[in-house]
Amino acid sequence: MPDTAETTQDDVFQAYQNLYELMDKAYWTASTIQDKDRIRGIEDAISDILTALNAADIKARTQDYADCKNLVDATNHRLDKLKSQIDSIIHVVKIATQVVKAAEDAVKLAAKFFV
Amino acid sequence: MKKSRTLLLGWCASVAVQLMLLGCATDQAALRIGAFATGVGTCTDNVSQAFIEVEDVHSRAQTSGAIITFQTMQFDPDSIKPFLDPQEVEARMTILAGLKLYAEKLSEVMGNSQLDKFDEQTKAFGESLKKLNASDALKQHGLPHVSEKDLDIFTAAVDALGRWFIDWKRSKEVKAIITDMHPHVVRICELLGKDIGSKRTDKGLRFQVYKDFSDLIRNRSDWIWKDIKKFDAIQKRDEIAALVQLIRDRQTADRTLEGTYKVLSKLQETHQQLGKAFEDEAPNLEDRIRELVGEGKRISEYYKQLKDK
Repeated sequence: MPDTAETTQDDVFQAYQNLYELMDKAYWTASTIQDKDRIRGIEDAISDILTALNAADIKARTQDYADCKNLVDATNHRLDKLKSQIDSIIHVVKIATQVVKAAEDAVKLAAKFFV
Repeated sequence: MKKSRTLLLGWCASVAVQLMLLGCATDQAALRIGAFATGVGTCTDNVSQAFIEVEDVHSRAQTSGAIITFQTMQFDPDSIKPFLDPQEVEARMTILAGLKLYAEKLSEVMGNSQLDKFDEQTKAFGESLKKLNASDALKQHGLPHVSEKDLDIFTAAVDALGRWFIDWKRSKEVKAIITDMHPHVVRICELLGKDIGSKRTDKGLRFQVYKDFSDLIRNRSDWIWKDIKKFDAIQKRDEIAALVQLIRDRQTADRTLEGTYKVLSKLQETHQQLGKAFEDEAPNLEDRIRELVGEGKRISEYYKQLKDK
């Protein structure tokens, strides 16, 4: 058992978890419903403590996720930008097609005009 | 004049052929990154499912506990609450959606849709050049006529050059984006790995699901013990079978979460190799992608089994 001064939340969790497992074994070994009931009552209380400690540990990381979100969003924005840059290359060819079409119309009109 | 035009067209044809050959390497990269995106999609869906699964089992354990203790202890409605607050789960779902979107965007940028659009545009450009070239008005003005074959070569060269430029640009940018994103992928996978837990005795979802199933099993057993005299033979058999099934479900759930945890490491390793998608031969990366996709699918099946119960 670690010293009280050095006890971490992990140690507390491990201690309760060991107790929970021992109680669980005792539950299945007990042969009367009265004994089982008593053990289950204690086990339920330990179970609630373990749930609270476990949830608190997971919750402690929520801010880290929020920090990561901004970085992922920035990367996705870079990918959007790259996609629109490629779209603009495609657009250049589209404009060139329009220019050729306009040139064709101009040549046709000029032919009518100068004849 | 004619000689220099022939030389120019010859150069165009040769450039077009060479650039088309270069395009094959990026086709491979597109396939690999597409497969990677599929793997990431399955992996992120599985992790999301892990959070849903833990809440489901927790809720069932709470219900069974309330049924058992309702008559002997004062029932406290406030004791019925989710394992994690919705905002905690939301933070995880948001990052998982962001990671999935990143892989999808990578695949989209590397995919063929933009190149197909470019081909369509150069084809239209070639057609309009041919129309202009065939115009009688052009002949009237005494402007030079170009053969249709030469125009085809010119258009093919424009297309090949454009494709090459798009390939070059996206390869360069995507490689840089993958490199810059890697530390964030590692960090996200580490955080999610801690949430799940590497062992069922460590803090995390894996522990929680196992413990809640154990509570559920014990509550069911208590209920059977208390009511066993009231059951007929068939009821008794069904109740005990249901108890044994819960023990099997606990094993399946534990294996599923163990697999979900391991796939996160595979995701990190695969992403680290993803820059190699642009190389001609990348057997290591291809193996990792296959593993990522295969494992992801296998775990999805487990989640499906749990959901169907």
